[in-house]
Formats: sequence, C-alpha cells, structure tokens
Amino acid sequence: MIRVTEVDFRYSVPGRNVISGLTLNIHRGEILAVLGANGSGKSTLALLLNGILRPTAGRVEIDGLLTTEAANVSRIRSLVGMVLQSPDDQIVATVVEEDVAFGPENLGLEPDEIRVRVDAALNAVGLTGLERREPHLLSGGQKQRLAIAGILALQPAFLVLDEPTSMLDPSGRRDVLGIVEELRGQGHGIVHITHHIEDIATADRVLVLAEGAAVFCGPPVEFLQQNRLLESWGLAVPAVGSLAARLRDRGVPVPVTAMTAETIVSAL
Amino acid sequence: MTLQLKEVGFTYSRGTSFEYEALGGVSICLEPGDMTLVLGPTGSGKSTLLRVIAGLLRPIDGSIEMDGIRVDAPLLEQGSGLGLVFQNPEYQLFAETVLQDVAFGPMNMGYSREDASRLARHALESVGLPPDDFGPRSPFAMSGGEARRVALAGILAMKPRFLLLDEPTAALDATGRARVRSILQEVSAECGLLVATHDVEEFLGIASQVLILDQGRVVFCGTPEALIRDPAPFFEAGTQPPEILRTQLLAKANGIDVGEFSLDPGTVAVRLLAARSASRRGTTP
Ligand SMILES: Nc1ncnc2c1ncn2[C@@H]1O[C@H](COP(=O)(O)OP(=O)(O)OP(=O)(O)O)[C@@H](O)[C@H]1O
Ligand SMILES: Nc1ncnc2c1ncn2[C@@H]1O[C@H](COP(=O)(O)OP(=O)(O)O)[C@@H](O)[C@H]1O
Ligand SMILES: [Mg+2]
Ligand SMILES: [Mg+2]
Repeated sequence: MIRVTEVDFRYSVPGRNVISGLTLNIHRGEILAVLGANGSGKSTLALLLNGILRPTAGRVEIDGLLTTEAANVSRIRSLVGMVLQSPDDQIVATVVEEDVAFGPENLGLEPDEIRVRVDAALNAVGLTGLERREPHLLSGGQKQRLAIAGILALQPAFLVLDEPTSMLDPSGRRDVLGIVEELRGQGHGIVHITHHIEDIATADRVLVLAEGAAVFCGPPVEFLQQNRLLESWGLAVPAVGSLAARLRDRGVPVPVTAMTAETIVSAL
Repeated sequence: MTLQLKEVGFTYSRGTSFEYEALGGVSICLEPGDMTLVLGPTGSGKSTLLRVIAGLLRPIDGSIEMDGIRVDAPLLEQGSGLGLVFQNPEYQLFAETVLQDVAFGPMNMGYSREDASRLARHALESVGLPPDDFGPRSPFAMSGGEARRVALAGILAMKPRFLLLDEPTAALDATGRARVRSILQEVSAECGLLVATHDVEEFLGIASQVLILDQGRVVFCGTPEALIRDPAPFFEAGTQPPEILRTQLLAKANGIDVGEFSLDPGTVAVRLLAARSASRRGTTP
C-alpha cells in the first residue's frame, strides 16, 4: 500500500505549498484517477509517490518504506513505476526495443525473460513493427506509447501514469484504459492523472486536487454528482456526459457514469 | 494573402534503410479568416505537415506557394508572419523569466522593450496566466499545462498572419481548453489558423475546413458540416469521431431515428427523447 500522511510540499524555501495537508492511501488492485486544474499539484504528487521529490512535511510510505530514507530509494523505485507527463523526459536508449529493455535489464532479469517482456509490452501499446526505430524520431503519441511500454515491461506493484494519453487519439486512449484495467485485474495499484473526465468511468476512486489540497476523494458516481462544483475545480464533463445528464433528467435510466455511446444507447 | 500546398510529399531519412514516407499528395489552401483542423491517428503525419508548412522540413514533392509565388526559404524566419507552437512546447521555452520569453518574439520583430513587454503581458493575460504572478517566474519551473500556455502566449504576442498549432490543448484543463478555443476564434478573424488536434469536440464547431490524415494521405478534406453529417472518414482513418457523434451513429444503427447529427448535447437529447417516445407509442413506420 502507498500511504501518504499529512504531506506538504514546496519547491523552494521561500515559496508557497504546492501540496498541502494531503492524506491518501492507494491500494493494490485499485485505480485512483487524479483530476485537477493546471498547476493544481498532480505531477508534484506523482513525483512524491516514488521518492523523486521528498515531502517538506509529513510522510510518504510504500509498503511501509519511507521515501525519505536513502536506504529505501532503490526498493521504492522498483515498487512504483512512473510514466512522466512529457515522454521525452523518459526516453533513455537510442532504439525503441532497447528503451523498453532498459528497466528490466536494470532489474537483473534473464535475457529470455527480458525479450518476452519487451515484446509483450510493445505489443500491448501497439508499437510492434517499430522495435528498431530511434525513439526521438517517433511522433508524440508514439513516444507516449513507448513510455507506457517501458513501465509495462517492469511490472511494478504500483504504476503512476501522468497524463499518459494526452497526445493519443480516441482509439489510442481507449487502448490505454484497457491496459490500465487489465493491470488492476492482475493486482497492480494504478494512479492515473488525467484531464479527461471520461477516463474516470473505470476508476475505483477519484481524487480532485485544487491548489495542492484534496477537495474531493471518493467513487466516480459521487464525483459526478458534484456537478455544481466541477467548474470551480477547473473541470468540465465532455459533451457526451452532459447528453447523458440531460437524458437522465428526463427519466431515461442512463447510469451516472455513462460517458460512452454504448452505455447511453443501451439505456434508451 | 493565401498559403497554398500543392501535392506536397515528405519522406524522412530518404535513401537510408529507415526511409519513411510520412506525407504524400497533400493539397490545402490557407487564408486569414480560416481555421483548418488537421485530424488523424497517432503517426498519421500531422506534426510533419506543420513542420513542412513552417519550412522546418523541405517538401520532397510538390510545392508551397504564397499568393501564387513558390516559397522555398523557411517561413519561420522573423517577420514572415508565420508562427508555430510545437507539440512539446516545453522545448520551445528558453528565457530566464516567463515575461522575457513571451516578449522575445515582439522584440525580435523590432518593437521597443516597453511595447514588447506590453504585448507580452497582454498575451499572458489572454492565456490565463496573470502576468504579475507568472511574468517573473522561470519558464522551466512550470507545470505541463502552464508551460504550454506560455508557449502559446509567446506566439500570440507576435500577432502572426498564419498560426500553426500542434495539439494546443493536449496538456490543458477544461478551463484552458475553452480559453484556447475562444482565443483562436478571436484571432482567426485576421489570422490563418491550422490546428492539429485530437480534441475534435473542442474545435469542430468553430473550424471552417477539416483535413483528416491517415498514413500521410488525405482521406477527407471538407467542411465540418459535411463531416458531422457523415463521420465515416474518421473510421476510414482508423480513428473515431467525438463520442457525442458516435452515440448518434450507434443510436441510428439501433433503429433510433435521430435525424440530423449535431454536436450540441441539448439538441441531441431532444432528438433522442423524441425518437424514443415516438417508438414507444409505436408510431414510427
Ligand atoms: N520545478 C518547479 N519549481 C517550482 N515550482 C514548480 C516546479 N514545478 C511545478 N511548479 C509549480 O507547482 C505547482 C504544481 O505543479 P504541478 O506540475 O504539480 O501541476 P499539475 O497539476 O501537474 O499541472 P498540469 O495539469 O499543468 O500538468 C504549479 O503552480 C507549478 O507552477
Ligand atoms: N524525424 C523523423 N524521422 C523519421 N520518421 C519520423 C520523424 N518524425 C516523425 N516520423 C514518423 O513519421 C510519421 C508521422 O509522424 P508525425 O507527423 O509526428 O505524426 P502525428 O503528428 O500525426 O502523430 C510517424 O510514423 C513517425 O514515426
Ligand atoms: Mg502535470
Ligand atoms: Mg504530432
């Protein structure tokens, strides 16, 4: 379990808290969606979860290991995998498949096992065929898929995905949501940071940050019932969500979390 | 002033074993007052097209003409009136403070320090970054969405005649997306806009022309109205229309008569409810 207890964080000493008073648990087998306006502290939270940043006050523990203890760092990095907001910050190798193999190699896995994991990861994100390409020559969305493949090959207990689909088209986003659900099924804990409210339909819980504080944490259904507050948090439901809400108001039994064509049409 | 692409093609790493044809036979026409959307799945060539138009890549086939005159030199040169916001604008930022970064363009165009700073402050305000808070900060200590807004402000401050934007809303929150839409709507009166985006829902309603690419080829070029009427080209290109359109397609496929397709949730709700009650009363023929 990831346990965040009364955490404050600021980037520089004279400066405001970018995270304040945050308490949160993240379990294996759960998807936590994190929403919030630009600058609300989502990426900062992500970096606190695997010890890249250390809290100014409070504690972050991964399976009981404090991120502030130097001795825990390598163990924590292997427990909590990250997909950074900007995939360019994550690419280490000069060939796609070597980039994916980099993590497993560092774990000291057998070459055969690495090959299996690399192929499976590239296949899962739809990059099969681009194994020998140079990562910096990929398109933005392809780089984003590569970053996800890199973390899939590591199979960490917890995965923190910072806007992993921001450069993907709707089909690509759906693929990634499918991967995330599959990982949950295998018992991984996932933190999914996103600006797309439709992504929360498959989450177990939703955390909303506003100026570094948790202003909401609860199941998606409860989140969607806060529709009057969404705007003040810098959020908005997509057109399909407001269509669903209008139909519901008129007595059509559309579920509160319905944000796909299928869920709406089957309720008609 | 017209910017015209005629049968433009581009191949990366030509003559090597990594040769890759990223664009082929692309023809479009851009004019101030127009907003052209470029849609298509990941890797379909959107960013390549923007780089070609900006003169960062030289087309291998076809030609680019400005008012009928063939242009070869990179259009990005200062004073040419063409601005480009990259897909990863973080890498576009370079100055010590946000205000200097945004004022750099206007200064380069010959504006005085005061005028450049005034234009920069105005541009920052328009993208939702209060200049007093953000102006003095380092552009490298920003959140992803903030960095994107700074990059956009830097281009807007130059008041370009043509503006190319690569996924301008990708890292933005809902407020930021709505803001960018209204800024673009405003500048499009005097500026020719080309927007590569996956955020179809945000822009389809205000675009004047849509181009859908698949593997570097144009699979659709037409008006947003035509595309809303028949969203098939989205599927042809291996992607999907906005969910609200897909809902109407699926309803129709299930025998629910939704009439004409629309992007407006209110309109769609009314039509779906009417179709539903009609079929419940058994009055549909
Ligand atoms: N390296 C840094 N130094 C100082 N301040 C920073 C740094 N990185 C981020 N900040 C500030 O901390 C706050 C939170 O940033 P963070 O990146 O966590 O936001 P975010 O919620 O991920 O935003 P976005 O949706 O734009 O990605 C913002 O006000 C940002 O300007
Ligand atoms: N510098 C490059 N060298 C070789 N191939 C590239 C380069 N940049 C992009 N590509 C390839 O060209 C295709 C189109 O890329 P791009 O225009 O970035 O796509 P989009 O912006 O539509 O996602 C992709 O297959 C991509 O991998
Ligand atoms: Mg962020
Ligand atoms: Mg691109």
